[in-house]
Amino acid sequence: MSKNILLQKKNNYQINEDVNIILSPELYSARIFDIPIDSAKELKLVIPNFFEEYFNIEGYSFYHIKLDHHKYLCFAYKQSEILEILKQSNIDLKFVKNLYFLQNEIECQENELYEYEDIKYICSENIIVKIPSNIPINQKAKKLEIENISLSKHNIFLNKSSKYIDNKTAYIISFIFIIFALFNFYKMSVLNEQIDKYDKNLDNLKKQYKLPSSMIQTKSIINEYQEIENTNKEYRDACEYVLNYKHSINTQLKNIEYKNNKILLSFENKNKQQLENYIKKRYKILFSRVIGKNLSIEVKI
Amino acid sequence: MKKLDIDPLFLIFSVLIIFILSIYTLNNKKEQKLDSFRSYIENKSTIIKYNDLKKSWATKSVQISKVNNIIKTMNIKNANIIQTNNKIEVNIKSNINNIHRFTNKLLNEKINIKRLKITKDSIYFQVGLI
Repeated sequence: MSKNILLQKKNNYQINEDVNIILSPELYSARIFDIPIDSAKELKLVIPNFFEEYFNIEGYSFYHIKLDHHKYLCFAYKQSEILEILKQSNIDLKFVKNLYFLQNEIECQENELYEYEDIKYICSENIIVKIPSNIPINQKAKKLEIENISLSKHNIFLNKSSKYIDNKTAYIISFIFIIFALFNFYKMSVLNEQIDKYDKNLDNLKKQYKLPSSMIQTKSIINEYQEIENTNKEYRDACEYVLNYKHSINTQLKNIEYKNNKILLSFENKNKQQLENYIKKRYKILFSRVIGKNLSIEVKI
Repeated sequence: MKKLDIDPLFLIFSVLIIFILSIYTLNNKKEQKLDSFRSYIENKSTIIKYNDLKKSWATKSVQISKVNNIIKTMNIKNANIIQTNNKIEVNIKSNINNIHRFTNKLLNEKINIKRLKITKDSIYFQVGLI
């Protein structure tokens, strides 16, 4: 269980464990208001207006506790002031567990005096207020046993960043970021669907064309087929080239034989040199021989 | 209801981290989609190429049908055809004009010719079957 501390101005503590801070009345302003509103949301909006009648509310935060039907105990406090006092009192924020109002943690009996470390408080009109030190008091004061107080559920949250940003702005900015983030996550899901679609389409194509299981196998087979196509194309080109010569000089091609990437040609031709020169322009002649009137040439494709 | 006590700066910082993380993940996903698209296009063209090549050069039934069609179209009656599991051998004897026309037709088709011998009055060719 954490220790209780009553936070007053000009105190100094040595804290190295979690503590519950009870705020003394000098650190907040408390009022009881009759407000004909039930909605907590609306109350939050109107409470500042009630305090506005007593002081300038700029920089104040507000808290309320329902006492009775349409009767509320309302608090106004400056977070920056509390932070400053905590700092001056040597209390590290990391040890501050919760913050409470003294008003709500002790029973306030009309005109009763309370005392804690030579500072006196009085309950006036159901509100505990600090008695200035220069006012002499003869009445005996009840000593506050802060350590023994059983704390209520009503505590406030200290916005450590209140100097820079208020809660409302923070929520608006966070909301905008969340909307953008959600939009990004939505776009991601759309992209995921598209990626799945590509994979499915590819699988369908593989099934449709009865492809081997892996693309490596497919590519290897394509290379094999490509080789067949290239060989056939080269052979046809070679035939076309040779036959073009035959047409141009009206020579007689007697035989043409293709086997193992070689073409054996047999011409009735008297001009061996002219024919060889023509073929040499594109292909390698493996042998060339004149037998009688015939010229035999073997060409490597 | 208990009020949610979160430091505003901590809240903004946390949400900002989620937002940055969402942008980072989204960019990664975009890259992944682009890679997936490139891979799809590349593989699709490979599949189409595979299919075209297979149909043109490596489908047994298509090769046999092409040879038979040429023989039929050229109205050649005396073609000697020997077909085994991995090849077709065709031997035709005819006049020089028919041989020339047949040769032209044969060489213009996508037929996997393994051997070919043309003389004035005959043509012999061997078609490889895969």
